[in-house]
Amino acid sequence: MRFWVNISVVFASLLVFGLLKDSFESSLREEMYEEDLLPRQMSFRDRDKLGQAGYAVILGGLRPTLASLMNLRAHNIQGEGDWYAAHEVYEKIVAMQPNSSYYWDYGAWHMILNASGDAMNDQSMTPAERELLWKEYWHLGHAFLEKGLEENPGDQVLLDTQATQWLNSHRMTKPGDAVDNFYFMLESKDENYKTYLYETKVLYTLLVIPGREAEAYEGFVNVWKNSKYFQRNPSVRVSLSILQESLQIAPEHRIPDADLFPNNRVKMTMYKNFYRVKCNTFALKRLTDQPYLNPSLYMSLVRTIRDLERELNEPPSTRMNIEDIYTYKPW
Amino acid sequence: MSDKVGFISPSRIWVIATNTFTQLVRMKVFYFLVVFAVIILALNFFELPGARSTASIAEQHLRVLKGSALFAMESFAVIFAIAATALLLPKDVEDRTLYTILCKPVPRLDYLFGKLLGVVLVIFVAVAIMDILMSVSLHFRMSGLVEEELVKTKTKLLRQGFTDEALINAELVKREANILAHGVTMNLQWGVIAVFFKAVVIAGVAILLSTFSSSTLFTIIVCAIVYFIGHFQSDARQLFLEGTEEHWKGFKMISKAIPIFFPDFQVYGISEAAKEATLIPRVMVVKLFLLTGMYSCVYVVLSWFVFRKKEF
Repeated sequence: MRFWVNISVVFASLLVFGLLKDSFESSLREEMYEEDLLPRQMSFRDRDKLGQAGYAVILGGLRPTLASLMNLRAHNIQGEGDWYAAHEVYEKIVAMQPNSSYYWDYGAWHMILNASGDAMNDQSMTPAERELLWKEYWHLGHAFLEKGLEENPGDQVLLDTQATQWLNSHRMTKPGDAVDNFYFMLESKDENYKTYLYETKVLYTLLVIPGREAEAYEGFVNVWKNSKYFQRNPSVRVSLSILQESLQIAPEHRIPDADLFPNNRVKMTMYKNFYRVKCNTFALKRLTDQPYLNPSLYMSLVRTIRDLERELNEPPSTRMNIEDIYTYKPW
Repeated sequence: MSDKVGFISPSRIWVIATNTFTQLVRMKVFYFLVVFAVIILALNFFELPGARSTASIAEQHLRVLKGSALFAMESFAVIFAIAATALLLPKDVEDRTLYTILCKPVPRLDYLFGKLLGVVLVIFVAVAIMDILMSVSLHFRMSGLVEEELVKTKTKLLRQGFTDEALINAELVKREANILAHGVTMNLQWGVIAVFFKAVVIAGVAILLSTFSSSTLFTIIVCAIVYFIGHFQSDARQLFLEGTEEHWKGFKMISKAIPIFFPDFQVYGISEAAKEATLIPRVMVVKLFLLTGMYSCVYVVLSWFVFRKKEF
């Protein structure tokens, strides 16, 4: 009898205490969610994706460890070339670690670059099949990045990867959007952003887009005159030079050639190096590759190289082999 | 001289607590720390695939180390809290120590508080040792990573054409600060304290159950169930209270009742924030402390209620 009395009293007391502490606990939980102190509750869909592991991670600290182990698994699967399976593993990983840009970046990069590259080189398929698979992997990778940015708005690693992949020379798809990403990071007030990286990155990307040469020129002049990072490297000098030529800037408004290059021989070397960097001749032999210069700037660059070679009496054997490689393909 | 015995005497509770501490230490409970040390050592050799070097790889390495260490710490602390507390009362009965204590003017409430405090002390020492092991290991790992990352960052900047010393130094300072935030910080200690609080609450549950039950195994199993329910209850609420299905009506009732009878262990999950280097406000730790204190007091008082007239 006493046992049951005890049980009843204990339950009644727990009920009263429970009612009192429930509101305190609920408000504490809400506060913690607001302050980002608790991991967001995993959706049941994500939990399903993870299977039994999904229930194990609820217990707390296991998420980063499990994610790392699954990352190793994804790495092995990629080695076998099963890209869909690897992508599925990354979906699970980011369900556990949605705020770790490392996994979003890594998973997307594999799909956009490695999986699609693998598809393009798969000789067991017809060219049309290869193209189809290439596109599918590419879209999967970009969709993954988009999801990563939804989870981590403004994350620099992800914004940079996204822009870089839009600018991928193997299939340059959205240089305009890449410029927007770079501008966003350049103008950000976030101290963690490496704004100095985007000061010139945004301008080099503008060189790719027809019709935005004036904007690029204005930016390069600004870098030349005001950059606090003293960015007067050869690429900035050549960009300014070809933009002045291409935009036919009046001589009195130009930055004189003498300021940009100590002499014509150095100028020619810088131009040739710029050509090698922006219009990689090896990469351009591939079907889908594009140079990092728009057609008019490309022509200006080539013209100047030829003029300088003539002016400096370069023997034909040392002249740059340009024409037989380049055929411009608009995107 | 008055024969009246005070209801709660801190000195008496302390004597019982220190005795319980000694009793548990003699049971060689700290041997599990060797296993913990091996886990920590093994984690130091863990490497993420580094084919793509992203800015956050060093932080991810540290996250893995912290996450695994905190998980191991929590597992050991909770298992220890359940097993040790469940074992104490039956062992005192079996050894007849209980009779010696209770025949003296020791109120049963003091005895229970003392027992719980003894277990809490052992958990505290165990968590503190595990914390030291984790912190030392994390410090060495972090120092190595900082060195590596600073060289990498500097090389990368120079390769990109940035030669300005001020810019390079500012970037190195920023990079170092980002990695240090994932190292041994006060924030991480708050996470460890939350683990300790969780173990204290589960010890309270165990002491309440052990006053009812005569079987240690039963107490351990029920405590484990309470621990799991405490973690899963928010998910159950999310599923049943937000769901619209008709046949879930019964579950909705249960979902509302569960948080009333069981502690919600998800609020102790701020160790996740410690892992992510998210700043934990002190006020949250104070609130968790209050909640833990409330749970412990209520569970001990209820244990006393059951225990007060129990005959052995």
